Amino acid sequence: MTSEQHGDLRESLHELAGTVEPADLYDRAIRRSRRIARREATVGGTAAVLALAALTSGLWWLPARVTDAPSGALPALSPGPAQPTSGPAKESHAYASPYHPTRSVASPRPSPSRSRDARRIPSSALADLPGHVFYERPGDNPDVLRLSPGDRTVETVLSDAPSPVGVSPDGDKIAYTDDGALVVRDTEDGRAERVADGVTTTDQPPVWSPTGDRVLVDLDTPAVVDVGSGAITRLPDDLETKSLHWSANGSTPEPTMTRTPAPQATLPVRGTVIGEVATPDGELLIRTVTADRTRLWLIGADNTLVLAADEPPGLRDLNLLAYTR
Amino acid sequence: MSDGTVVEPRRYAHVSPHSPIGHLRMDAREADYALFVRTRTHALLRSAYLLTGDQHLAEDLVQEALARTHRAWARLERAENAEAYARKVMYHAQVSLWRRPKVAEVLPGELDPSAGGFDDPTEAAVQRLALQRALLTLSAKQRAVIVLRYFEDHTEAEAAQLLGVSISTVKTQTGRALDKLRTLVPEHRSPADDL
Repeated sequence: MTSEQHGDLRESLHELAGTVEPADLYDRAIRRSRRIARREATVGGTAAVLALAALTSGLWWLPARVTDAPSGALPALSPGPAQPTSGPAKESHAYASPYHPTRSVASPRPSPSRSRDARRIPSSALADLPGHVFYERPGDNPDVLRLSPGDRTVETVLSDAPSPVGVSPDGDKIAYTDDGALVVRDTEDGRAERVADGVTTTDQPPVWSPTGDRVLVDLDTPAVVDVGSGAITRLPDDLETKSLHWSANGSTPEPTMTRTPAPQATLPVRGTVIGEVATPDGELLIRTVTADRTRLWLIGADNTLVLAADEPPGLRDLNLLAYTR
Repeated sequence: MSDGTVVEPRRYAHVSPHSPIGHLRMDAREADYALFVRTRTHALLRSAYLLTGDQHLAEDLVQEALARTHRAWARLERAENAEAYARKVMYHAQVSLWRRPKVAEVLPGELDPSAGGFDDPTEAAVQRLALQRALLTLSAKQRAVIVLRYFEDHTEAEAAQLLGVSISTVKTQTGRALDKLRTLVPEHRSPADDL
């Protein structure tokens, strides 16, 4: 079909579009922008505390559905930064405890077994970060990028993700939904496999079990998809709590419903926390920003600071998505 | 920015809001953004109106796109980037699989493009109404490809990139949309279409 054939359609579209009334949307846009910023700030603060809760309780956190949709405006387009660890609304908690590199880190976090290696000197070399860091570009259909700290390479492992994504604990696979199916994509060779049909999750990113063989998704009710067989097991939705956890070893056949305590915790990091992810092994990766740089802080399962290193440039506008083995 | 005890919005994170220079830079940025909004809102509204079929929904959609653009303003260096970003937000909002797009409601009985005689002076208005209603019977994705291809004059490849779908999806959706529009608004059938 050539463009000339649709000249009259073009003309009609322009006529129709011309009937829209002019409007001054500057104030409305600014107000909406501020609301988004406030929500990002609140959810970001909450998320860090809840990630800690998951860490200290040895459970894997399933973020709750993002429900903030102000009336009169479209639903949130980009839950982006809040997504990986967003939780039920609570008052945000402050971060404190500036880290002093000249003395050993004594984490003020409540720790049943204080580290025997408290004098360990944290590394400041990014290359010492043992795992991989995943980021996503903010937006509705985010690109997913992987940072390999060893050689400081950053590669795009998924472009224009059609839904929120979940990265497997080993970093080898990404789960997302596309066209009514749960898709699992290999981050190495890029092969994508439709694992199960009938999965149209909403804002909720799929959450992998610690063992990487099952994925928790949010259908009308929470459900577990077995990645190998594609079998979907719906979970009862009659509990009052909104939080779902994978048990630490992933052996529990179904996620368990538990209430999560809100620990009063501080972190041995410096700067404004803009991201935080936990691994099933109990490590916590914190991302902070100060006036001139963005840093990654790895806190070991024994609550000691393992590493504090500058993030490579060029990642600043991305959101921290996951830290994997 | 002091070493934070609160999690602050990331925007302008590298410019201290407490320094005079920071204020100046933010003011300049805000002025750029204000200029962008004043000059481009109507163009965005025109597309949004085609996508939603309703003045208020169009304003809501553009407001959201402008707000998202405001959040991202620090890294959108040029005005062209800003408009492209705002449009992408708009289209994604309207074709998102995860959110029911907001469009004006169409009452089935009202779809009568033959209303109004040929010489009726209101024929143009009737035609507009017929097209508007026909557009609203399309799926969100079909409507988006029609607006992208025939209103904004994007190529199939550009439309695919903007919507985050494959070129073949754009072709299929365009074909289906045009078929449907031809049925609902027969006046749009041109001799060339019948070849």
